[in-house]
Amino acid sequence: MFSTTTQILVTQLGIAFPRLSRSLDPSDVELLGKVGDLRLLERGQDLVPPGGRLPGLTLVLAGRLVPSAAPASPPEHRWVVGTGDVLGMETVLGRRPRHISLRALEWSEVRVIDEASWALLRERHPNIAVGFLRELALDLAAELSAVDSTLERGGR
Amino acid sequence: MRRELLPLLATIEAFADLGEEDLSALVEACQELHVRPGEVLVSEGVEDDRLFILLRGRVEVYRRRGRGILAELGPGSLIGLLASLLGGARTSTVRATERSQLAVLRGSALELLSLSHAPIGLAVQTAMVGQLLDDVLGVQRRLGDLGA
Repeated sequence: MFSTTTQILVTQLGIAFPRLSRSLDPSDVELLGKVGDLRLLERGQDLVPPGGRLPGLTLVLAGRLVPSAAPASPPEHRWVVGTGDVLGMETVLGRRPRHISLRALEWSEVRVIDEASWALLRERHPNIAVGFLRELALDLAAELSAVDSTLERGGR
Repeated sequence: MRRELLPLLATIEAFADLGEEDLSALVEACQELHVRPGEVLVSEGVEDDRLFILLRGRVEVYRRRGRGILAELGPGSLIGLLASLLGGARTSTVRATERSQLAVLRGSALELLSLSHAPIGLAVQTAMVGQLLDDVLGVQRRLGDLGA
């Protein structure tokens, strides 16, 4: 039986990443919900200050974030990261995440899985790591298909 | 015969962390393929779940409509990861440009192997994420160049 806190973690993960949650056993979802650090951000608070790098694989559980160093333009016109987005995929490849600065546009909640936590997950729970990688791949494949279509239209 | 593939597979970057037992299981599940220049390995639009591991030689990747040769690949390349792991039709055609030696693994065999040998599942899924991330960053850069 899950504790209330665990139940909240599992529910949050299920809402933000429904496909992943469906593909894993409930106990695995519970475990994944506890990997890494949970970061709560107030509106206007930096997750990554200008000039910094993402601290690891970053799962947006709730809220919206924008690059804080973006050109002066209304927030709604900037690239926005929201619930269900994943950043810092370089972490799972053993590469350093790219430079990026991220600020919460509203109250936000993110889970950060650093390289050491990812390595531990791979070692102890490879089935969860494989499920998670598959989820990342599906997202990337969809993104690739979308930008590729745009490129096909704009490139000719 | 297939045991000869083991030292070649061991040099593939994606499988660098695999132990001998996992590598042996991978070899057992693979078939060896030799192709001549001009031979087509995979065809755009065709459902095909095979993963090709290029051991020797070179291949080129292209699409019927579009931007000519998309990529030229050499030894160590994993060809068809996306279709073998996620299913669906091939998005491009791959043709040998040199005499080439490959190890071939069916998607269903890869799935079974990933279940019985978790490090293999991790290796191929990680390689797929790496390939896709590089592809996404590549097309995003091109979009940026176009001002799209």
